[in-house]
Amino acid sequence: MGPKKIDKFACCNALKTVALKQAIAGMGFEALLLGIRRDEHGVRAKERYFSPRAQDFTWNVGAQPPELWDLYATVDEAAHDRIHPLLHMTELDVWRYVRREGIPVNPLYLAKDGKRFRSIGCAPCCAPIPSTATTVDEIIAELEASREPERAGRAQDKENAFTMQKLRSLGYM
Amino acid sequence: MSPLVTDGGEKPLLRIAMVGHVDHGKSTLIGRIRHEMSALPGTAAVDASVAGNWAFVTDQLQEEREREMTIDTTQTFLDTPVCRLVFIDVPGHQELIQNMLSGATRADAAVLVLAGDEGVQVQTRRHALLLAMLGIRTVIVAVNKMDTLDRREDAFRALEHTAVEELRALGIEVSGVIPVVARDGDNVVQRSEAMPWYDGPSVMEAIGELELTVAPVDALRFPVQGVLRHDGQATVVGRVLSGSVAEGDALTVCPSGAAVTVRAVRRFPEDHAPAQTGESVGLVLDGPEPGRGDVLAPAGDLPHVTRTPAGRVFWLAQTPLALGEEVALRCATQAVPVRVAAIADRLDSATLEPLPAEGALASMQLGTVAFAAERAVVVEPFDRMAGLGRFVLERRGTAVGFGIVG
Ligand SMILES: Nc1nc2c(ncn2[C@@H]2O[C@H](COP(=O)(O)OP(=O)(O)O)[C@@H](O)[C@H]2O)c(=O)[nH]1
Ligand SMILES: [Mg+2]
Repeated sequence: MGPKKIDKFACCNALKTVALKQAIAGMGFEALLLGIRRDEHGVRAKERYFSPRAQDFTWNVGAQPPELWDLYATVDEAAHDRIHPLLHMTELDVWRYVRREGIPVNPLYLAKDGKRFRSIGCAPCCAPIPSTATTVDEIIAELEASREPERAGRAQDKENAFTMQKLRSLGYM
Repeated sequence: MSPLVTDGGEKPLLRIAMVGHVDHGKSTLIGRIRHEMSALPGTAAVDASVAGNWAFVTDQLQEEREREMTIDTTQTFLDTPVCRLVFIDVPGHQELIQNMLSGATRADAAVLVLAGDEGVQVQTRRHALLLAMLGIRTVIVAVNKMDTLDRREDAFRALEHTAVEELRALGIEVSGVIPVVARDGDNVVQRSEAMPWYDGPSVMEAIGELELTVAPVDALRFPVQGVLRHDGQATVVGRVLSGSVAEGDALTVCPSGAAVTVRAVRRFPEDHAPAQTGESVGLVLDGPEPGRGDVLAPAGDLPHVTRTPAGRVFWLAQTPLALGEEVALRCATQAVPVRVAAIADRLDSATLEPLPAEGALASMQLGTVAFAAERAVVVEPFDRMAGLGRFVLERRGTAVGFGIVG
């Protein structure tokens, strides 16, 4: 495994999508609550709060059920549902919320030796960004001034323009 | 501006839907705004590869780019020093109207994009009708592609006149009509020097000046989501739809009419202050226990309780809504089986022309539908209490239409 041995799409698919499928089947989950957000990626910007997924995991982005106001479809024949309660929050909102509520954070987000992770996924594909932010306050100040997209350190977004879409339609989070 | 506050910040939120006929330039306008506003601190620069093809800022799917057509709705954020703007792009194609609605039902205001070379088209009318129906009455018209009209004033005035008249017929007083070249940025953020005869605001300036109408009543409406049991105590949970609720308040449970008193407001961390509009809280009540779907309200200002709700319905599904058919009506937290008792005043949303009185309600048609409900439902006129004045109709859990209580 790892993108040096196989291409990034195959790697992500194996490490995340296939592994997730096994976990859902093994645990018998009917729904997953996920923290994805619209501002992370142009394809995630098209998500719904409630997203039904078929047995083979596919997400048919062009034919999603209508989601009118906050009257979400809660009964369906989907194999499982994905629920995205943070969809409308931005990266900065999340950090301000972490600060306001005093939520503990993974130390990888804080700078060490001039670098920190801004977006954390699988080890093979995430690169740290140059940063001196060692506290939540400093992360907020850094982001308020930044013009780099959040997932700049994520290799799978760069591989091919539509990798993210392909991954998501296969069930990637 | 709407009183909503985002979860992480303190700034007000203004959500703007870009609507109009396919290819009139909705996505291009959003992309161009995003590009020109990306100098804002904390805003990522627009990917250089989309330069000149501004629609690609929101059209990110492979099939959207290949077909040069928006398929799904997208939301893009822009934090300005005074507010957060959310631009909601929607598809203009008729087959994708459900995606348009998923976007538009979340908007506070809209920009209706009208291409100068084509003028008012089928989806321009249909989208305008849906805005009126959804209660989005704050609308700016962008007359786009002015380059195809040599940026001429007379051509603009003619389109401006038509647009204002058609929208007025739907009950929408426009907040401004702006000549635009979205592709080149004329009157998008900066005022255009190439159209000196126009001295009004740019699209972004006009958005900055929008005044949203505030809900007219502030009586308490608390739709019950459910009842949680903890330490032998029943806590009634839900989100305050309107007004506020304090400990000691005497309330009526609708539709039953039972009287209850609020013994405690429960939230985490513990705080007994009154719960405000938009807040999700638990209530411990003295009196008969309500259930999911019930609405708590003050005895002196109750919502409407009826077995025969009615409303203007827009139908989405391919299979028409037939007289006598049973569907589920969902409104706030209620889900009630209802039978179609009457269908009247049908309208073709493409032409805005009336249809023959008799008949089922087919896809893309609007009609007044009267229902006979299996049990009493709690509703209110949409203009008075939006959250109890809008409903979704479902067949086996799938939304097949929606309606507004008049
Ligand atoms: N001539 C001209 N073409 C434009 C202008 N704005 C957009 N277009 C083009 O019109 C087409 C449709 O634009 P798009 O934004 O995808 O339309 P949408 O379907 O309303 O989102 C694209 O080829 C754009 O490049 C404009 O101001 N002038
Ligand atoms: Mg478009």
